[in-house]
Amino acid sequence: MTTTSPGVAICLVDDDPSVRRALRRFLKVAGCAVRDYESAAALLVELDELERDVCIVADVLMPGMDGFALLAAVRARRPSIPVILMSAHDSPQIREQAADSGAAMFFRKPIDGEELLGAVQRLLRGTSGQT
Amino acid sequence: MTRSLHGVALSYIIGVLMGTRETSDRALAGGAATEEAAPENAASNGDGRSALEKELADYRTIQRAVIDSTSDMIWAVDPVRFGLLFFNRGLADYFGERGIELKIGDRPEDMFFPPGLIETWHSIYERALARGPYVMEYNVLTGTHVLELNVNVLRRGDEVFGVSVFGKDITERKRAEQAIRESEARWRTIFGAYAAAIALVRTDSGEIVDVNRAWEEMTGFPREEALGRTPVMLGLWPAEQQESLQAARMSERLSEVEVQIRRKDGQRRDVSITSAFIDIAGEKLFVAISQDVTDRKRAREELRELSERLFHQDRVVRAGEITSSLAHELNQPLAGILSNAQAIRRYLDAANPDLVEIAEAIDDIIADDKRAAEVIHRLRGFLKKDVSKRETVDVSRLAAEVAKLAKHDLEIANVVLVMAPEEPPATVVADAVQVQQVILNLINNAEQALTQGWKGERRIVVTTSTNAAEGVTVVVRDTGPGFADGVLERIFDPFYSTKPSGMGLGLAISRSIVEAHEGKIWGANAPEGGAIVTFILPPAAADE
Repeated sequence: MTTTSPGVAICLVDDDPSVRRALRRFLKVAGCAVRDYESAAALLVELDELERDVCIVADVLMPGMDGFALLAAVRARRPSIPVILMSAHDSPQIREQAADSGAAMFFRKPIDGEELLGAVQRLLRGTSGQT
Repeated sequence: MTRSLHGVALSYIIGVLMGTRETSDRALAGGAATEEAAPENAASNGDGRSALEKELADYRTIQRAVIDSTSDMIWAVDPVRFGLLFFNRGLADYFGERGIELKIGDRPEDMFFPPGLIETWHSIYERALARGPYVMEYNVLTGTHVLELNVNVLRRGDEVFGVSVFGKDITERKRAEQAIRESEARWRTIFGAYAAAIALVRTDSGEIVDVNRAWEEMTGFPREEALGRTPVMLGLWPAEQQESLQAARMSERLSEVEVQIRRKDGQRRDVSITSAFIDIAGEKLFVAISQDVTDRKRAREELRELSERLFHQDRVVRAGEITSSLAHELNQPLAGILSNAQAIRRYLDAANPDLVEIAEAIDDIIADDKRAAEVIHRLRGFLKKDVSKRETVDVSRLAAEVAKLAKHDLEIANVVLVMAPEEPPATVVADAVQVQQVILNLINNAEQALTQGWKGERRIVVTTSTNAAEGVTVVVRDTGPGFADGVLERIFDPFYSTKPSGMGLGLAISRSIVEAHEGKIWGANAPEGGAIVTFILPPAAADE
């Protein structure tokens, strides 16, 4: 039995259009409010306007600004917004770097959408609890 | 032999000349004019000159002519004060050139020599008077000439009336002898000290005429044992080997052959022999210079093995790179497929499933699946390069064939392709299919740069050129945006792509192929804009 997640807002950042569209489709049907961006720079333009209880899900390897740089920018400007990193590259180094740089979670692609959803819900509950 | 003959002849001639002259103590021949030598002593006889006298006069004329026709110096002095009794034209000319006109009775040494040397000069005459005729070499004062002096005592019965000297100028001979000695010494030094083994061998029989120390060391045979024998007799190599070696030597001016020799101690060594004709004292010989290449050959083989191992290792490393990149490239469509499938699952849970959304999600799954299959397909192409078929190919022609293949796609994309092959044909030994693959990849790459969001001119120019030293150069230039900053170093990495739809394999495959051909490939931005990718295929390695 699946659950819907009304009120969960996710900003999805991935340069790969097909991955972006598929993940957006899943998150939407699961009841999330999804905004998607093709680059870190595109998200950063709107960063200051983002609502409090939003979660960023970003790919690591992207042309231009990568996921780690985006994470650093978010932590500097909006430290309360959790950032989940994901990558089609799976290596101990990349996981370590994700943990060290303060990512809320790291997911290896292909991502199990249900797991991602659960993680986002837990994270947002945590942040809303703080407010 | 010659010297004593000279001496005898001279004494005879002078003896005859002097002995038949009645007025031997007065002017004889002066400047050596032939007619002066004709005797006038028959005057008392008037017309009654005897036939014998006439004959004698003629004989003297002949002698005089002979004596004066040589540039050698002939003279005689009296035994007391060593004044000139006689001199020929050779001596007169010698002093004449030095501004001294000789007369009978003169002592030229007084006018010419420094005081100390006058005694030395006189000792030449004194020695003959004391000990009889002799021959000596005499270096003239200036040091520029060497004379061979043939000194004789002139007698009239028991009475000594003079000393004759035949001075032969042997400067040239001495110089030539010296040159030969020096050249011989030089040759000996080089021959002996040369690190390579050298043998002089008769062209007909193959018999060894001489060998140097390095040859002795190389073969283990001492020189004495080798001289007069042939390599076959020494057991260095079999007779058939000798025949083919001989044939190679005869057919070429300078031949080089690699043979295996069996040393005296039975050890086998690989030897490279370079032979050339040499003329020594009218005999044609081979000079055979040998080098022991056993170690070099072994080193070469080890190097080849090493490079094969390295090449294999490189492939393993690159395979690792590829695996990692491949995982990334496959995980992307798999991520899309999984998310879409999970979305469909969710749609189906709804009371009224949104069939339009489901259909779209399924279409996306199909597309991602095809994308994954394409990755694998390209990977197979990437790995296929290992099976390589090398032949002589004309790269310009290969490029033209590629242009035909690409033409249709390029026309649709509104891209102009210009082929600019240079004369002569750009031939190189390479795998034709792989070279075409590289050219096609580069054209595809350029096409993508020109069509994805580029608003400027859409043109690709492919030039091929060749030069003997570098090989064949192919340049693919486009009028697109060029490579972005920081991208140039990575464009040849597998799965590195700056394009949303790019697989990142085209340039990596191209690099692999070019490097497998020992060539080079690099990218650059043209100053006037646009990207340039150049690759060079070197001429075929000479030793393979």
